[in-house]
Amino acid sequence: MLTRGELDLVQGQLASALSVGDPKNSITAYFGSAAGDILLKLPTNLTTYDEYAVYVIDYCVRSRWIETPSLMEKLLSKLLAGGVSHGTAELEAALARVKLRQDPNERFYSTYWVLREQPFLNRQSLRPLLRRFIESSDRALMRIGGPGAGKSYTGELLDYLASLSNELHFVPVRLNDKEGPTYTVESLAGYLLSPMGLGVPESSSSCDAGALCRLILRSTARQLGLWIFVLDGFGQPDLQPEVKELLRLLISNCSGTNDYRRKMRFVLINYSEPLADIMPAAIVDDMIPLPSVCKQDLIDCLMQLNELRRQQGRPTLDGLDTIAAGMLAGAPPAGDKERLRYLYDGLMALATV
Amino acid sequence: MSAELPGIPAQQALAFLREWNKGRQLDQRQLDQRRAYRHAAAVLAGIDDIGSLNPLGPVSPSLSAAEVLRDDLVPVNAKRVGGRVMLSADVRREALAELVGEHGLSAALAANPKERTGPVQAQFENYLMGPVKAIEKQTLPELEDSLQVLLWLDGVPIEHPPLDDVRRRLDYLRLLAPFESLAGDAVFRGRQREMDDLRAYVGVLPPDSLLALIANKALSWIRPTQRPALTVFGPGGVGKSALVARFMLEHTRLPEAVRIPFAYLDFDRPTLDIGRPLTLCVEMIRQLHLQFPIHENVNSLLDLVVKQAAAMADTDQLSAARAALADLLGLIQSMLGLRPYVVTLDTFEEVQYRREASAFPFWDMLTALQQQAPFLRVVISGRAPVESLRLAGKPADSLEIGSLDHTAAIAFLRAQGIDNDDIAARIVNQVGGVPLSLKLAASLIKRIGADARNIDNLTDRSSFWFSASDELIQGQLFERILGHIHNPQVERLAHPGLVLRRITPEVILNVLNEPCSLAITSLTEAEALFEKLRKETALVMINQDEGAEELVHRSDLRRIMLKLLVQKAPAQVRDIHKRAVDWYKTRPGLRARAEELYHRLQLGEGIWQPNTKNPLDDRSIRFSIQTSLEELPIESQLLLAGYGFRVPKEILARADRDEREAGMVAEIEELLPYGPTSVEQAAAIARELLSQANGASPAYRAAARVAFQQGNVAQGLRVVERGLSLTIPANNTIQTLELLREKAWALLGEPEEKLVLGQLNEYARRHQNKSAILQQRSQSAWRVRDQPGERETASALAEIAGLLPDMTTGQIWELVPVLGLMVRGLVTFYPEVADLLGSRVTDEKSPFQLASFADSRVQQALQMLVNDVTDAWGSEALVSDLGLRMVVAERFEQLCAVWPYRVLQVQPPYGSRGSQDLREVAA
Repeated sequence: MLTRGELDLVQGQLASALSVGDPKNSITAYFGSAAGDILLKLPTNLTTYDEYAVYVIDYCVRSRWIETPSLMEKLLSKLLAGGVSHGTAELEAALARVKLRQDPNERFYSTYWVLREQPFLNRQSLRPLLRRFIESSDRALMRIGGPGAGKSYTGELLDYLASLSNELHFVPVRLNDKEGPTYTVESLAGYLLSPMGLGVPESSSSCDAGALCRLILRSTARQLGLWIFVLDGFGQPDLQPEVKELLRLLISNCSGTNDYRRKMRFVLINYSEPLADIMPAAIVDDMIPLPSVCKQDLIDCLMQLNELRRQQGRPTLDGLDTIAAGMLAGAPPAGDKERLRYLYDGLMALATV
Repeated sequence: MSAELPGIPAQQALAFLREWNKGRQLDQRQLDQRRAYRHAAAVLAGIDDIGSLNPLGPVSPSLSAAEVLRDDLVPVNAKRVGGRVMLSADVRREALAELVGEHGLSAALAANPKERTGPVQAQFENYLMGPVKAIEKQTLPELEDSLQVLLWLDGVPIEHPPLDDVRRRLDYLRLLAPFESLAGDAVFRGRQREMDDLRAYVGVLPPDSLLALIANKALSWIRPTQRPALTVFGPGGVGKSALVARFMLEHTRLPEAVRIPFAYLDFDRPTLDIGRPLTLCVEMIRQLHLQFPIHENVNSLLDLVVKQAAAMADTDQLSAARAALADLLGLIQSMLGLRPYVVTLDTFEEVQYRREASAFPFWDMLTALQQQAPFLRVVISGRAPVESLRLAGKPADSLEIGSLDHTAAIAFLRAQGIDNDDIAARIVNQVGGVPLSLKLAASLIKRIGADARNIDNLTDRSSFWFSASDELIQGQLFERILGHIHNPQVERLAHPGLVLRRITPEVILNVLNEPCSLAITSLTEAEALFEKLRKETALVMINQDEGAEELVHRSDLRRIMLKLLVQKAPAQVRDIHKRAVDWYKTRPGLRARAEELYHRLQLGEGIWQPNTKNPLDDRSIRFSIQTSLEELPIESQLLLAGYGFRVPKEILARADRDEREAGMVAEIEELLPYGPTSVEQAAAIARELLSQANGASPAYRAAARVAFQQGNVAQGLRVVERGLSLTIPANNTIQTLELLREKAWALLGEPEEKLVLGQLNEYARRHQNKSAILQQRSQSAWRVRDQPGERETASALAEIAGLLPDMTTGQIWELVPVLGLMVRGLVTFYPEVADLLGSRVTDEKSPFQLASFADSRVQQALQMLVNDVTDAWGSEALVSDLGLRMVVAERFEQLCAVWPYRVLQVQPPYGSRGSQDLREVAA
């Protein structure tokens, strides 16, 4: 809803506004009838005005435009009406945009260039699905499969989106091919929890799949922002039963409970095990076709590269059609994965010309 | 404006790419280096220090191993593998194949001796160089390591057991693992009588006798007859699960010729749901396949049922499950002859706490199957005896588990670490033979030391206490353990703080601080105390709840300790309950609602608070209260009996007539949704209820509903008339209204309906009962729907549309078939009704989401309604679409067309999702 800079600005101003009296009274004054739910879910361990501000902003962001006017609109309006110490123009602009239901972060979904100047080719079907998956909380699970290459690479786009937003946290967990027999449920839980600064308790009574699931759900629900757990490689047949059970429990609980769905989502890559507990309507599927990349995909990517180069004052590439055709002709014939890798590396090399 | 820079021509860019690509290719020297490093890394499970990796062979490395192997390495995720990185599986396989071809394995292992550590590496080397233990001799962790290694070796020309054999053996050891930990040789003692009883029930001899028969070639299985089930029951911690586990463990150790097949279904496992019989079938077939792996037919059946279970997640599982089990039993008979097949249902209290009636479809299946296969034996283990299963036309036989005999008790203590038999004997003399008492005594002796004085003073078992109950003894032991908490603050926190079902730092600060005289002022101090208490592992265990990490009483101790805590400090305990109510009522969420209700019930308060919804409408809260029901005062238990809770018979016996009647009526309602056998049981209760009825009574409505549900309309109407003949003169207008509602619905479409609707209208309006008004208006409008010029429909639709927003989702669910009569007209003239129904259907706690019907037609119709509404309401742009609203109406009608109940207001059967939100550590 807001850019990263705007969020920082709002947080500072809101913390300052809340410090005037009892934060709960201020929240009631800001949000009127909607304040009841905000206060009801208020964590008990908030101690600073900054923490209150972060919680309230997170709540507004999560609710997006469900309410009319949106909670973010109410918040910005009240802040501006009360007077801010700086950033009035930025907040006015943000308010105008929020009223029009414009999200400045939307354009990032269509990027062809992500972190460390890496290309992120094609995936035309993924982009709108991913946007809806992240922005609305009606789906808990996205599965990425299909015969084409690039499934694991999906994480790069998520990583990039998370880097641009305070709202989004990306937690990739990758299980190596054929590592299932020795990979334990504690390991999986540890990887999911460590980005929150948490670990798995040592007590044996806390380490069965059910207890770990509750720990992860609870811990994630207490974090700010939306957490996307990307699990890659968990479709292999020799996983320990407890690992499978934890996955199943996490996804079914997240799918079945609004409060969890608002805070977390799961992306399963290359996972074809049946998910009997999950209603089909709660799952988004993205299938990568074969071949995964066509000439137009390369041209689109090169066009965006040219735009970046233009912004940096560097010469652009001419004859994109010819370059794309030449790249495809030079790509190794064996296997979509090798072909995709070659194209990625080639594009990355071209970016340095 | 700056001038546009000249572009880079396409040919120049392509030339650049060609050069770049040339630079990517490795030269021969680099290829040799990579090969040497790959060979060295291939024989290492994990590599801790990649920088120090020595290549295999005389190469002069120009690049480091990390650079050369950059694309080949993956991080190690599993601790047992050891190291930080390892070779990816496909590169490893290729390198190992080369090494084997060149006989280079020994040299490769010798290249990096420091990296050869850890259990997986050891097993890897066993397979690479030999010798290796046969898989049948390997322990569970060894076999897990073996599977890991063999996956790396798959496709490499080294002799090793087939992967599928290893997987199957691993699954088998995982099946036995809980039996070994509960009842392995190191822990299981005594119970000879009970084991004999169990064997006699199943129809097998002790293992030694079986082996002798086999040696003498004298074994033949006798054609078994049908037998009732066996219910093994006793209090928590007495050793029920250990007994059944031991029985099965014994048989797994016998040769196949005398081994009996079994299925062990532990309802503590969240994956097993008695309401979804195919999940049970999958587990039963899987276990049989593991026990008798040579029979391929079992595998084919397993494949089929797994597919069915996935495809029929919410559809007609019952008939598929019945067919699968019939197949299974046929297979057993053809494979193994007439030996008994034992199905053990463990931790059955989990089912009973949720709703035992949900087991009826499974019971029906077992009954039918035993007629086909009389060798089927069903053992059910739980805290309370099972009454609802009748096999062979009889109720279950009972096997109550009590104390260990003297010798077994001494042996049990030895297993608990009391090595001296004399000390053990004195402990047994002091505390008796209940395993929990022995465990507590052993724990106490370990804390205080085993001198004679300590042992003789374990309990206050003077002559006065000589006949003390086991509970009292355990209570005293527990109190002694409490007395040895060295931090007085923690002791005060535990005693009486543990009257709370769960303790968190917030609860310590806000509830226990004053009553336990903790004198803390901040959450940080409360957290510190919480950490100290969690170390008292003899008292508490950690529960990872979705809302918080909590400490709970060890479940086996709570039952005993709670009474003692209440007796010792009643005022303090009452104060804690009051403060707990005050605290939880301000907290959000189901957990808080359950705790608030629990403490209200402890205080003897009512269930409903003014202006709140009934917390018992939520299945998870019901389950939470049911698990602790026996902790509550008798009055509260009796109160809950009226809401259909499972209350001990001895408590019910204390109830007055009205309370008993309310309890029986509630039980009937609980039984209505679960199919013919369940309704037949309800009919038996209804007959008893009617025979005791005296004057105006809810018995008539309950009995009539059973008759209607059984399709016996005439009988139902007779009962209604009898009821009305008593309630009207008694001026009991509420019961009259309820009877009229039943009568009106039973007469839907009949000529007599009109008169009843008139009476119903009068009573419904007198009570301003919205559900009744809605029913009356719907039926009335439906009667005249085709009559030209009628005005009833328009005014009825207007009134119904006005009533619906004030009704709860539960009330709407109860009236689904009534709404179905007029839903199309409602949505046409009042489109907002579709929005309202949509929001109720998509409410994740609503019965629409949680119900799970055995009949596939009903389940599919419900699923279509839920899916279509979810899809439509998920998209803001579509909500205003009238066409979509009509879809809601159509789906509603389709659901009504297959609605399985002949009466209104039936609570739906809940699948596993109904009670997962608030799982409890079994109390």
